[in-house]
Amino acid sequence: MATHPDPDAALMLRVKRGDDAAFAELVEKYKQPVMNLVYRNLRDATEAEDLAQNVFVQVHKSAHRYQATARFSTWLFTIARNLCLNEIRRRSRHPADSLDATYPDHEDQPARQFEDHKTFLPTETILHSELEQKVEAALAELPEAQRNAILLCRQDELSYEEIAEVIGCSLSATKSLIHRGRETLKQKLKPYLRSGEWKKTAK
Amino acid sequence: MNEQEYQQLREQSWRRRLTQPEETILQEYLSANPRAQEDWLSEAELNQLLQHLPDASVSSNFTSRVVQAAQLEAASRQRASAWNWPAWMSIGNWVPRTAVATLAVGLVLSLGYNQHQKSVREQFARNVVQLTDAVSASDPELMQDFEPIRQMGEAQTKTEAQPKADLELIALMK
Repeated sequence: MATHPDPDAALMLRVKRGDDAAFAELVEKYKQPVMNLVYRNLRDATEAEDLAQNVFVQVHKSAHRYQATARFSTWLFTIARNLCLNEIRRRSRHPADSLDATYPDHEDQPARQFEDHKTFLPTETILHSELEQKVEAALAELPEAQRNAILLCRQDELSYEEIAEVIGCSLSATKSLIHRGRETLKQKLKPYLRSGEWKKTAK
Repeated sequence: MNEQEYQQLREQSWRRRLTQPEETILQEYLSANPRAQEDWLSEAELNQLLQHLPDASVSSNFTSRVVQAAQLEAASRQRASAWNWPAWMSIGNWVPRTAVATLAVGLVLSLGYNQHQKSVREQFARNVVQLTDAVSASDPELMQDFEPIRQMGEAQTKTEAQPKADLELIALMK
């Protein structure tokens, strides 16, 4: 049997032959990176988990078409990104009610009040949490391709060529997307970058 | 290190932590190029911020739920393909499709022909009614000259001549 330089591709070929243990191994390995990517696109934990589950079900369903010519992770993240894009498009066609929407009679209050369980946190944690929220918000405001290109950079194993394949752009266009996205982030997070608050609170 | 190599290191830092030799080369470049220091500082700070983004929470039973969902989906797919197997594999795809198409075309033609027959019969019935009405309403004496008049018409058609007014007959009728 031929050996595969990508161990995940070898696992995927086992999935192709109906090996559910190999599939479980792949899910276990990639659930967190996929969930991170999906969550930062949808910004809803429940929906993100459902969609992440669909990503893996899609992988299982398409296993018979899988060719070990590319890295498994590239293929996986391409599926994840496509499903995220579909969901983002679906949301734009059928926008849900915003939690921040106000009733005409009570314009100064949000439409719905949800209990916040995060109370009495130590000061450092609050600072760190606030900073995380700012970074998450700044990421969410980026155009989809820039956001995903930057997020995929966090996946150590993906090369720029593979990120370009997932995004569906040329290598130079992908680097340009990352550069522009990072410049926007730097502008938006300037007060925090300069204050160095993140250094004190970073784990 | 030149500007291009600095840019390459910068791009590498977006993806991963720089190695010790890379860090050393970078520091040498930065000390020789103070203007690049500010740029590098903001790059490094953003890198660290992005690296410290917390992981999204995943349910503890995520893997088992996914495997179960995938197995269910595969089972339903198998059932669907087994259901279609006799029709779509043994006979072939084109046979049922051609049969359905032929049946549809035959049905349309049959309906059209029946409609045509019906309209012909209705027209025939209307003509019979009109003729019956005409015959019953007319005086039999009026019909005594029917045959000569009909023959005159036939004779004119045979010669293909323009009909000429029978002035004598008109005078007599007056």
